[in-house]
Amino acid sequence: MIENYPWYKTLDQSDYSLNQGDFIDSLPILKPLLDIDINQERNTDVSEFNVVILTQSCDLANDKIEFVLVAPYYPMENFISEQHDTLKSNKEIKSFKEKVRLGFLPGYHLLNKCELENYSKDFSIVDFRNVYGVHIGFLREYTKKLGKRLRLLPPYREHLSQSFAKFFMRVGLPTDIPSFK
Amino acid sequence: MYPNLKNGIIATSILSSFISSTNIPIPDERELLQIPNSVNQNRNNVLSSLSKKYDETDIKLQTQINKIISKANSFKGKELEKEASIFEDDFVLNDEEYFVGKPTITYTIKVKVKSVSKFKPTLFDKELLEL
Repeated sequence: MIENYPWYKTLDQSDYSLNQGDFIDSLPILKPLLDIDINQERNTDVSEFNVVILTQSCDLANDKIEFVLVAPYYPMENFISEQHDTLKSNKEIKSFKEKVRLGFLPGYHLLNKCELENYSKDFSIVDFRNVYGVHIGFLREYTKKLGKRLRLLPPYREHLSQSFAKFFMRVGLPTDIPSFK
Repeated sequence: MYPNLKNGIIATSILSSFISSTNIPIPDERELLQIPNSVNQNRNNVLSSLSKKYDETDIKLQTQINKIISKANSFKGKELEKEASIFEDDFVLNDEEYFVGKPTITYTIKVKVKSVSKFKPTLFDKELLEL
């Protein structure tokens, strides 16, 4: 039964379609200029992120948007090793892994590891707190250069989308009901 | 490495909660995580280690240790298993924890802005326009 619901599939190089849940690696994200002077050269930073598409597939297919929403994702072990100040002990790391797996950290979503032939990937942490809008024309052209790509399949794709929605619709109550413990 | 880690953590968490309330420094965790064969043995090992480290004439510390012994003795059987769950209180929705991810690479480029125009939103759903 479980084999009928794989997490991922690979896309051929000739498949240029864009869907929610598609992984785009090393996508360049331009940092906007603080001061815009017409016809003046300025330096700006470009950061490359491995991202997953959050925009709904139907909007992408029907060209209903100009900017595609993407969220960066990181290999889980790399992500954890970067959190020097907050995840120090094995206990804290184990607790973090369980919390993100169960959805107790709204800003983050855990994706399963990928063990497809010729395409293996560690567990990944998707960061909803820092999302980016990428022009769809640029994204389509960039994707054509990538070759084989990875796609997140249903219902894990919808689970990602739901998790993102929960992050954005969360409400902080000024006076909450106290714990029953 | 610590086959009865749960039991070690029981003692550690109990000690931490009492010690932190009186500002007595918490001993090195490695000293507390012994390798016991039973909970009782571990509890006694822990408290014994703690007593040896600190001055035994310290009345404040002795009072705290007695409280710990009393509380530890009140835990029996499966209650200890529950108390040993290091994740129990962690499993609440936590919006405050913030973690930072880094891009794979960052570089600087030169850009020249040729013009600036106001973005004009387009309604894609004609049906909405007709409503």
